Amino acid sequence: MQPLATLPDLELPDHLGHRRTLSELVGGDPTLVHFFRGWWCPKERQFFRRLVDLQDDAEVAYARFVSISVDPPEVQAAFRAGLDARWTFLSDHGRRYVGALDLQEKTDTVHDPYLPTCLVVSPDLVVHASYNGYWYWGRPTMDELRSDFRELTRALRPDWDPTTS
Amino acid sequence: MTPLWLALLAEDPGDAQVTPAHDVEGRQAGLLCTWRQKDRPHDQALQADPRVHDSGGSACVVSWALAPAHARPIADDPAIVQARRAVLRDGRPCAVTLLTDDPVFIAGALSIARADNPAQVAALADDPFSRLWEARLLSVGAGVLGRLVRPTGPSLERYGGRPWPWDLF
Repeated sequence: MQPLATLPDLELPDHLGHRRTLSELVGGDPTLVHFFRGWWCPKERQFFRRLVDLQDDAEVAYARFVSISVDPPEVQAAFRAGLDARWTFLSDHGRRYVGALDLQEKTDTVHDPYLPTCLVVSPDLVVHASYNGYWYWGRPTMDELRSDFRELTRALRPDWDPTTS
Repeated sequence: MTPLWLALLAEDPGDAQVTPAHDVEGRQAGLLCTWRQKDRPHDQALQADPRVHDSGGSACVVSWALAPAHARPIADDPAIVQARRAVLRDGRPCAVTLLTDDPVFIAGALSIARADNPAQVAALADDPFSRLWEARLLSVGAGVLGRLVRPTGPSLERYGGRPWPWDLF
């Protein structure tokens, strides 16, 4: 999933088991779509700690997060609660989209998880920025995500500069 | 989307969709009146996220939590923000909408559980807004509410002063 690609409108259960679509979750805001391996991966837990810090900015900045893994909803709900995350998790326990998105982590044959990937998308689900997190340092820093959200917000909001709008 | 207005009234105002509401003991608790229109239809009507209005919805149990009219907090009051955070963090199974009288102040909140979903009904007992204001548990008949409206998070701002979790400008 490279920049300018368009994500399919994924339809999956959330961490409470309710069917959700990605387009509904993204709405009209810049959104981080975050594919992660699972609760058991220490790299994921470390990265989530950064995202949990960033959520305090996002909650006042009209930006959204969606995290997706192959964990079942009840596992995601427990993991999410332990993290104190206040955004929606989607469960692809059936691995419905792993192949279609070409995001299968082929080296883990035990968990068969998603390849860790961060996509910053616009409301039309077009990828603005893509980060391959297979190696931890490939993941975005929170400053990089802030920069992506700034660029997308500037493009989306006609009153970004109220002195010229 | 056309705004949704709600009021719990003792008498039928004549121009609203009206559904009887009962308390948990089954006693009449008034009429839940709904309007879909731009302008305020009644002096007690409060605006809600219009997505909770569901003419095909099943019977519901709601937590109707209202701030005293003389002590309505501003929308960005830390207590209101914290209650919205609790809604996001706890991943509540029921639907929630703020109730507003104007773009600045919050008049209350409505949490909506489908009567046939015990997990949703149970969640009403822990309504974060009932920690702020007195809340009434009411049974409401079918055809008014019931759609599960859930914010994505972590954003919890209001969009142009509209009742949260409405999430489009």
